[in-house]
Amino acid sequence: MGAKAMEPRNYFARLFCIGAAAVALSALPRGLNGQQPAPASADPVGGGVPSDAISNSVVQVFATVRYPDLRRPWTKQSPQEVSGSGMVIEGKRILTNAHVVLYSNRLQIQGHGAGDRISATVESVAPGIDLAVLKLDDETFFDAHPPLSRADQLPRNKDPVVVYGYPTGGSSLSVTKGIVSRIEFAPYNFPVSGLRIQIDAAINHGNSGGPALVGDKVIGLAFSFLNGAQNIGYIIPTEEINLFLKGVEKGGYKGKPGEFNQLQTLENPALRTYLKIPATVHGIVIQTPQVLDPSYPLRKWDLITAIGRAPVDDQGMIKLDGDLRVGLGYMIQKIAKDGKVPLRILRGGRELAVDVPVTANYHGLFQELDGSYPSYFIIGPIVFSQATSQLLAALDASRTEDDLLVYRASPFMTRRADRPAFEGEGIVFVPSPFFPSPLSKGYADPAMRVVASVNGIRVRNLLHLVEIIRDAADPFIQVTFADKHSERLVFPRAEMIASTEKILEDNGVRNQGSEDAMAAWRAKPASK
Amino acid sequence: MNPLIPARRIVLVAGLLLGAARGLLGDTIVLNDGTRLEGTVLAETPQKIVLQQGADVKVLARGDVASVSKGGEAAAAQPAAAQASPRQPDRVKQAAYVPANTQDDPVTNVVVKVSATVVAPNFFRPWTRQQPHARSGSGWLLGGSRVITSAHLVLYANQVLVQANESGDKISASVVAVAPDLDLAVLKLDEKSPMDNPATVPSSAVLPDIKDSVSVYGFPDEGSNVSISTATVARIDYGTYSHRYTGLHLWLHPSANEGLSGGPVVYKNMILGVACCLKNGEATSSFIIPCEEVNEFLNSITPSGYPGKPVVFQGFQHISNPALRSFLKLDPAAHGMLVGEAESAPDAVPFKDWDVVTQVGGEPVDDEGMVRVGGLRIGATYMVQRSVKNGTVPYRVLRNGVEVPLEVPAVANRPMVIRDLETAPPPYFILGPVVFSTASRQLLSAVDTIPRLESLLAYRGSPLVKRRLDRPSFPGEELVVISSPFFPHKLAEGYSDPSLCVVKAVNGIAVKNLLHVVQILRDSKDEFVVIEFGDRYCEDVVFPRAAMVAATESILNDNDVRSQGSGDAMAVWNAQPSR
Repeated sequence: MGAKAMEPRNYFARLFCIGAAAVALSALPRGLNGQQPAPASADPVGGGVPSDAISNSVVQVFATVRYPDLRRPWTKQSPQEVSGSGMVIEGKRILTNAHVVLYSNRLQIQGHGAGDRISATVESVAPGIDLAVLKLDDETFFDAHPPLSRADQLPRNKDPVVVYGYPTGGSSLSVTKGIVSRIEFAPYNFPVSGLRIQIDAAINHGNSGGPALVGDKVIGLAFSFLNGAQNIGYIIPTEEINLFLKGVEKGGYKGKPGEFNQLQTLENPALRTYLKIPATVHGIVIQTPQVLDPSYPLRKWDLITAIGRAPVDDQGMIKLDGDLRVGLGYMIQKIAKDGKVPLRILRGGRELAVDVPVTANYHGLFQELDGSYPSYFIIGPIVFSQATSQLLAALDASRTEDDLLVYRASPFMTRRADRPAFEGEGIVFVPSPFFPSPLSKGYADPAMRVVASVNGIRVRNLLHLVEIIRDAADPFIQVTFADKHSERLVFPRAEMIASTEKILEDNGVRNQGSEDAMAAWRAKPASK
Repeated sequence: MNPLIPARRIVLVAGLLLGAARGLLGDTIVLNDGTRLEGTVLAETPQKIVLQQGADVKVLARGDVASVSKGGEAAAAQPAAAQASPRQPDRVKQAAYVPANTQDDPVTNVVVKVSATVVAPNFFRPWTRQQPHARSGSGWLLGGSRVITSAHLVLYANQVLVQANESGDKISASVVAVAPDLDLAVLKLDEKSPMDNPATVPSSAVLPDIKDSVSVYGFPDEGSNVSISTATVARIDYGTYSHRYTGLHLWLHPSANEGLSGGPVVYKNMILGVACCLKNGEATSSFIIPCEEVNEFLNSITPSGYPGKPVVFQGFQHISNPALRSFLKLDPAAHGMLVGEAESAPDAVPFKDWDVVTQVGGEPVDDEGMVRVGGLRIGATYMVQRSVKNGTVPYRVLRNGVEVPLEVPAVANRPMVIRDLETAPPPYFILGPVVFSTASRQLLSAVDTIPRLESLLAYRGSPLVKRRLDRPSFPGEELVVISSPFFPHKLAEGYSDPSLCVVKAVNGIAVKNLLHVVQILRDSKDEFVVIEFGDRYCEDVVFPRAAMVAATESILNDNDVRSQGSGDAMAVWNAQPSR
């Protein structure tokens, strides 16, 4: 979804993509909304398999989701109803998109032609590749609803494809058809990239998680479409699904390895001459290695000529069977072993073989929330939370805040591209204004300022801040901020701690902090 | 010409002579604390008394005064000079004014319409300028062929025309000095004109009170007849408006039309200051820039322009919170403002962490950082410009429980690594398809107008974001930025758009500033020019040096570029290589 690699990621905004409220429409009796459900096609698509068999294995997924409220992390956004599609897979499970079920606390599925809904729970979710596996409370459902089988090869361009699902505009199963238009290795949700199939069958809100088939085999899962374009829908290929399921079955999905070096193409002749690369040699140039440590095997100006056995061209692409040409990153998930990938490089005229470590996580300073709620801690009238990349996306959307952050050199701007300066570094900030209290008298609103130190100790992350306050013995708690032109806050420690309960009560806050923060708060101080 | 004017002049002269005689007898003011002040009372209002003592003028709050005894009628001896000589601060102009027993309003004889054709620089295409556009507003005659007006009217103007009220004549004028941060500018008429020496209108440094009614004179639209509108003074404060305009501001309500910017604001027949009317999003805000700010500007202009207002570069914090007071161990009777994080640069101000400022320029500071001066309660920073002497401002700070005096340097300008170009166009240099330029405050303002561009630069880890508030790490340090996409040319094929990428090194040499880049390129004997960037997602670029230099002329021609670089850059390019 979205063409550019540089697009700031924001998967809460992906609601515009698929998974919106088709439920509202389904509540209306047929005929009143003026639209007739499309008749199920009597005419099978290639292979002579009656569409009934497939319909049986496609379900509608209903979720009540409560997204995090990043500015008020002690609560959640109001519940919203979201619906999408899913398909039955082996092992008595339903496969659907992560974005349909993320942050859901109530999940139900409904089979084709059924009159009832069955409760479900999320067994495993991978927001990066946008996949999720559900289990049903009542597994007898699977007796009459067998799994769909997946193709063991990638389709080819022009293959006719049929998409099943529950898109907006009606309440029963919908079938659309098209062809495979394009197959590429593309960014999903940062930091994950994956193979992606583009089709021109109509894909709309509500189709998320529904199967796309060539013949009677599933070739992928519908998950997205390109806004503002025509007939550009995207499906997650079976290959990626298999990789995900394998990880789930191995005892918990741990993500997919990727590489995060800054690469640049070798298209310019002067660059080639300068690097003394012969005209017959091709590859992609490393402009900045992912890690600047001497222990990392790649250096600036290295030319990656092959990954595994696949030669890399001057635009960083590799060729696959069947006339496919994709980004070299694809090979990483195919051949990574023990966290390493074999590359061939050209360095200073010499050909070298190196084993490059690859990781699933980008390890940026601002991490992804990935389906969890933000960590926070309330003490007295002040709230602290830890910043995530989702917070940055929310700030981007708010124009006025952008200006202020820039004029006070907020770390949200100046450190956005950073890696942690030390292990475990996290950005702690105040997400909301003070709770009303005499303790905050005379202080300006500290919302959206980044904490620098508490009681003179530089804050490493939120849990560290909790420990500092927990172990403090001074009569005062002093807080300073990293933003320029910030006030320094001073609170009387005993009073601050004592006032917390009443403040929580007065403001309807149930939990003083997230689980991890409260565990740190209640733990015994580290012995000296 | 109005036949009544000659008659008025005679009355005025007579009044002056009379006033001079009486003025010699002197007035005496006794304050509540017993201090006796001798001088001449220039003006009185229910809240204030203005007393002239020799060359000095005091503005006293009525509440501080026990008694006033006058030697004669309040009258000043000298006629209202349009401008004092630059070396003598001239804080108060003629305050007395014979009430108009005439239908003629003398202010209409000094207010002028100022029309400018503005040709703003183009920071993204620095070899060219933006489309010329017209701006129009107001100003007033200072005498001696000079006109005061708003900076925002004439910034980047290449043609300014001044037109007197009810006159058809448009006289060309040149910009003498501009102070963008004050929003003031001085023009000089290019030709002799009857406007040169108008019967001047007295101006006054006495501030009006809240709720007082003032008249704003000017030319709000296309017409050439002056318009007079009334507004009320709603608020008086000292601060920075719109991230830029710092000074004493008298806020007006209702806001005056934008075209009235630069015109005189009149109170009790005296000019109080310059009107400043600015659009702030949908709304227009207007305030008066009072005469004391105007005089400070006029008196500081040097042949090289206006150097800027002396500023103490330090932030302060209120001390209203009881825990904060306790922590600072402040006596209940001690009041002041807390010093914000003190810098550690070599030329940093001498404050230390946790200092509490109790006095600025002799005036006590309260817990909200305000001082009481001239009947006003106003931000303490105001005292900096009022009390700066020989480049320092006297403070008193409470440090570890002891009150100590501190002479704090106040400077007009503090160089930042991303510089303020003020009125100058952006420096640049073109070689082959590449456009190098200097990152400036003005470029960043242009970037800020493009939604999400700043966020994108942040994701790239651009020094334009990271170093926005930085001082130079060494003298002369600037950020060199590629301001534009490559000019289309074979040499650039295969490279992605380098717009707004910050140059880290050229041919392996870490870049100090634009002229350094020009010098490196000039003196290089390497086969290639290698430009490395620090930003993520900015590809490093390599060009064959000889071909790059040779292609420049045809690229300039092809893209209608008049000059390969700005003056300073070309001077370096054409100079002999250093040995």
